[in-house]
Amino acid sequence: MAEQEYETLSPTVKKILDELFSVLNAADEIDKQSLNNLNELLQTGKIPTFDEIENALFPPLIGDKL
Amino acid sequence: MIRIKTIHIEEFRGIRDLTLDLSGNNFGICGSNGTGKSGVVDAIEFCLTGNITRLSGQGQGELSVKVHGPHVDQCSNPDKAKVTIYATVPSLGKEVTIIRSVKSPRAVTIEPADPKLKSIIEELQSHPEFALSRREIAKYIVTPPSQRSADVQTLLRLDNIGDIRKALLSYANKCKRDMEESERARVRAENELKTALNISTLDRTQVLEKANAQRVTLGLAELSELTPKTSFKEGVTSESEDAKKPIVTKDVALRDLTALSTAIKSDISDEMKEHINSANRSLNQMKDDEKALSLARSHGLITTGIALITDDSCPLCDRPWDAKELREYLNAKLLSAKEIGTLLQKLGKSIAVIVADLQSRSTSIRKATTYAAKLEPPILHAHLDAYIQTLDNTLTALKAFEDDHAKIEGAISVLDTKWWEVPDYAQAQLNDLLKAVTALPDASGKDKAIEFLAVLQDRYGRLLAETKNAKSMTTRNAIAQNVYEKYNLVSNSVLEGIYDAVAKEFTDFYKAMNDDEGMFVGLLKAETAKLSFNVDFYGRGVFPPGAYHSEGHQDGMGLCLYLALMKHTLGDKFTFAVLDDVLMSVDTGHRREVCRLLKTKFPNTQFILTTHDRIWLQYMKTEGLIHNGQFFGGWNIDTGPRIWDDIDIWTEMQQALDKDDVPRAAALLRRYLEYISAVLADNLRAQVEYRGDASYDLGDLLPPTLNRWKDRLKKGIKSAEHWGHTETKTLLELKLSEADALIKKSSVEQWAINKSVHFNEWENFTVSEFKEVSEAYKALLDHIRCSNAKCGGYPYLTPRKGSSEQLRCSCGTINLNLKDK
Repeated sequence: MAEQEYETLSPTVKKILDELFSVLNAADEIDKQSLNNLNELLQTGKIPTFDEIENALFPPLIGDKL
Repeated sequence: MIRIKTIHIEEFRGIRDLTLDLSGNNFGICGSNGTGKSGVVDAIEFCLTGNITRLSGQGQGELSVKVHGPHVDQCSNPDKAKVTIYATVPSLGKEVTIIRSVKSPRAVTIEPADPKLKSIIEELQSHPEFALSRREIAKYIVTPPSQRSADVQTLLRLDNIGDIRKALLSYANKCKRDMEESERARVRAENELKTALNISTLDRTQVLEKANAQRVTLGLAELSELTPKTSFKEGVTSESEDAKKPIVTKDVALRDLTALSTAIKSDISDEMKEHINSANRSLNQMKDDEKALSLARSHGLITTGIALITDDSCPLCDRPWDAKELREYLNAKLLSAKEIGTLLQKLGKSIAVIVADLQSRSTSIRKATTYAAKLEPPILHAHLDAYIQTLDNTLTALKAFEDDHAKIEGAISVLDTKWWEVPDYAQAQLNDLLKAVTALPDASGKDKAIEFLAVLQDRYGRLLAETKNAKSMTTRNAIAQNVYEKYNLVSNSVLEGIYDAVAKEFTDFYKAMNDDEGMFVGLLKAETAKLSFNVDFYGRGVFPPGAYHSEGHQDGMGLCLYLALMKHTLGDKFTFAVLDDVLMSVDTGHRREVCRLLKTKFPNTQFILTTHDRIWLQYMKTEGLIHNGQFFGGWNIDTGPRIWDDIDIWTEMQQALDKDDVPRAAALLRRYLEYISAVLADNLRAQVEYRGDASYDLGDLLPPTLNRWKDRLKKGIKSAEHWGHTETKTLLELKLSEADALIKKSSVEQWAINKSVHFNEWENFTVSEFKEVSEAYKALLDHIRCSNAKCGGYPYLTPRKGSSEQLRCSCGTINLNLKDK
């Protein structure tokens, strides 16, 4: 499934995302897990909504779900 | 991408029943105008995408694929109009059959039903730029920069870069607003704490002093430090606290109400007035443009409209218009993105100040209503509630505009109201409340102390919570801005890199096509929502291509830009392209270069080329660009294109000899040798006697061309000797000796002295005599051309002017150094 989603992403967009997350990871200013979540979200090729970005960058803690 | 092996067309456009065998190779289709060439292009496009651009493009509103796709006799039987393509998919190493009927243009049959094959066909369907007509070249060259930006971004599949940017910007903007909101809430909490403490600046020592003064009254130990865990009420027993808990803490309530009263009486500050006026001006300035802007943003209507102004009348209703005036009018309706950005930034600042004031007023009035409700008897506060509602509506309208700028009317209407003026009835209720609170009995010292510490604890707790939230919102905003800014930086850098790479590739292609070693350069420059394209004009500066370059050059540029974009977009996947009459206006001097460009730079791309010029097709063959082609010798409505088999010249000669028709075979050989001698004379820069009428016969061309061939071989031998390349020298000596033998056998050198072997006499030869001649020439030509079966091209000298340095073919198999040490 993931492979199929990657295929919908143009090579240029994929290049931009790869470079973006490389820069963000190197800067070490944002939590790695949050960056991974956001990367995964953007790599789907779908344009993310506000809530999707929020959940990726600030995933709810276990306590938030209780 | 795919490579087409065969295409079968039934009852489609002007074609009744036609099968073309491309064998997965480059393929040329040649025929006069109206012979059905473009019908084949339409069929390929239709089969792969379900669409026919010629029926659905600009100005084709009354045409449709379903109605006008079938042959005119089958208009009511769209099921009979069908195209079948049998192709290979190099990336998957698979073969596929694609069938589409005009009856259901959106439905395609793909056999075998493999998801990966389906995905490849869907990719073609969503990006049908594999087919390019001469008309479509214009969209890369002479369209407005805004339209070019859209077209190029679509071709490069960059459309969702902008969508992701918008999503991240929208998220960052909301985080910024949330941060500002949380900071305002923190400031309000701080102000309330200061009001309760009756101090003007929040200071740890002062807070402790005020708290300790009350604690001393209660006989409690003084607090030594202020921390988030500090309990001002520590030691106060819950019984005494409950017993003494007042309905309203008189002192604090009086301070709150007095502060509110002062704020109301002092009207609004000059600074606030300026923010309100500024916001009003900005909103009204935007109002008219916003109408156009929202349309442009949502539907691209105005942008599309501007691009549509190509003729002197409306393409929809044909009503005449002044194109220049209309274009200027529409452009004036659009505020540039930069101006809008500045305006929104200014407006955002003013709205933030106004919102902060509104929230402060709303909170104070709300607190007053809480006091009013708690008093015994309660004070009526319906008018205060109504005032709160007015303030909240104002806030909602301003926030709604911030979230969606289309909601500009609501923002303008609330800013027109004087929300800071408290309505008379509400003011009367505030006065009643103040009187009632003032009339409350004074508590005892101890009771006052307990009440004070309770309020202090409550407001201190709130300030801590709001501070924590504001910090969290600040961190969140920093992350959101960081992601957005870095996305912008990275995407701009990648796009600039792409445009630079494409421009460089374009320049290289164009220089190769025009045999230009000079300073020609093409520049692609991305600006906001625009992509400008400028090219050098003879070193006199860079200009848009349409400014000075001829139509032929513009066509060449269009092709080069298209090829550069496709190469960049698809890379190894660029295995298939249809160029429909694209090369029409390339002049004869550049045809070979175009063929070489396509052949050498895109060896893995299958080109299907249409032309109405038979000589062009011959050039494609001579240069080895195509091996097979199809002539369309005419067309009629009942049978469709009349096909002429494109057979090999030597086979055609043999067929004539088989019928004992030596004169026809002789004419074919002579005509072919005249053509090929001209090509070789040009390739080898032979010294041919000049004729003003450019009427050269075989005797004028072939002897000097063959002499030049031998001379270049000798030059190669000399050069190899100079460089000490013994093996090359030996090979070239053998080649020269072979050339001598073959030329001797062809009797060219005897033409001047022996009339009986002159080409004029060929038609009088017997079949066996002529056969000997034709075989000699075939051997001679095979000796000159590249031995690589995939190339088979004739060698040429480079550079084309000045001292020749290299003799080479387009695949590089022939690569002879002619330079001395």
